[in-house]
Amino acid sequence: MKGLLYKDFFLLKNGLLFAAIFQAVISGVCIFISLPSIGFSTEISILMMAACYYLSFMILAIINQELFAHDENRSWGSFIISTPQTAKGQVASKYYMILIENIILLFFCFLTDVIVTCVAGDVMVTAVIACMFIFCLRILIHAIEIPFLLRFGSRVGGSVKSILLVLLFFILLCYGLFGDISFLFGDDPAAAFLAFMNSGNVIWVGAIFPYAAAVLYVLSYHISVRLYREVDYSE
Amino acid sequence: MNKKLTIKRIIIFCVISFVPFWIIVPILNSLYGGMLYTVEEAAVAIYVLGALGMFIPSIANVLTRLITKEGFTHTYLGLHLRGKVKYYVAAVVVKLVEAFLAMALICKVFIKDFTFHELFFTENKSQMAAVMMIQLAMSIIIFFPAFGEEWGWRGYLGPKLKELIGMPASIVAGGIIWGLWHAPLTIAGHNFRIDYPFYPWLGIGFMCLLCILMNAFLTLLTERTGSIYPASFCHMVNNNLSPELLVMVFVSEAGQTALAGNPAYTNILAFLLYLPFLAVTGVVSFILLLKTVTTS
Repeated sequence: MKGLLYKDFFLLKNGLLFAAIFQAVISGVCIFISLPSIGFSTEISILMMAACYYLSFMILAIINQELFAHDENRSWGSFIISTPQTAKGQVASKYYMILIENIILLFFCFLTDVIVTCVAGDVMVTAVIACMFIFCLRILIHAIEIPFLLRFGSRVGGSVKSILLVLLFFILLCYGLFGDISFLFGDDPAAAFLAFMNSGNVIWVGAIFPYAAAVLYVLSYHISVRLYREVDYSE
Repeated sequence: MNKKLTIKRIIIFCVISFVPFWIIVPILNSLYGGMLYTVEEAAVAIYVLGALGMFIPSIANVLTRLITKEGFTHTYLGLHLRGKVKYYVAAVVVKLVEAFLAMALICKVFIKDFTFHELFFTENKSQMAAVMMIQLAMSIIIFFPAFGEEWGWRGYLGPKLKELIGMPASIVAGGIIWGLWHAPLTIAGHNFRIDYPFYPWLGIGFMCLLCILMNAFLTLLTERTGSIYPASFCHMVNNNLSPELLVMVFVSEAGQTALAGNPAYTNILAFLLYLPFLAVTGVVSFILLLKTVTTS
């Protein structure tokens, strides 16, 4: 397993370096947003930081597409399933690699958040909860797309992710057309949005979501192992 | 085993771990004009100190290994899930059970004239359960500072002490060192505030006792799995889901008002009520560790 993780790390080295530089820029932007002299309200600061953190996780997800593209070579596939690692080890290394990368990114977002709180001089200026949910959302999206990536290749798998995101956008659009969005038009939309997220049934979605993401990630691994074995490695 | 080298490593580790708090906390106390944890305006300083200060033992681990050219073997950084998942689960469940039992005892002792129903079932139960689940999930953020402490204490100091003085003594010694590391914070009012008899010596002594008991369970988790992560999860739940927080989530508003209004309710007494449950876990863990030493 360690060997496969090292291999994946070296293959993605340049991409991860870019992700690290991007995160440094994002951290700078978050710290800038939180400066008292800039004058953003607490709620606006939190939402802007959440958007910045989402960008970081999104860049990492784009880089991770290469994780699968590199191993689509049939020679590699035939080789790895014949080794003691087998298909299980090959698939597990992808899941571990993605999880480790996202946890490291979450750590840097956490550090950024601590610095932001220090700079803003207010413990309420923290997007750590949003960061957690973004982390869980990315894990959930990976849980859905990885089986497709492994079974059908990175091109088809990438299309599945795009379809998922379009579906999510469509659901939000439907809510926007038929649901209650009066909070967007009040005096303080940011505060109203955050209050809405803490209310009634929405809080239950938020409560179950992290656990669902974790369970689906593990389930996705087991599905991926079966699908990977069905890939035809014959020349 | 080179005893002199081990002692040297322990000393270097302790110096690097202890010095930052002994410098920073008194400076912050004088900046804020009072003991840090008693000054309302110090909320940001307390948060940053807690979040970043918990990484000091890990930094000490890395620096000690570099200074003494120890290298990075036996780091306890592997997951080792196979056959060990029960320890990962126990790390979270045991802590939660302790916290819930301590919460129940706090309510029993300090909140009078309330029925069980009036205490726990007058608020929106669904919302309470959702908040509890979110709080548990949010604990993942606390995982990083918790790992920062655990990789230092259980990942480095514990094994070094075990090499030197054997398992039973290393649990006690490690707990005392860990408790004394907290001393600047205890003096500043962390956990117990400053309004108790024999301040700060009783607080420091109590902290050492708590740390010895917790050290036993955390060392058991680390030794049985060969990994630092179960202890980190346990520490994470301990810091984020304390009995006081469970009181805020589960006890009715009227009950919380009655608790706050009870002059007998102090932080140190609340911790005293937590002690029996920590003691049970600690003693059982100590016995299990001794059994491992005897059989090996």
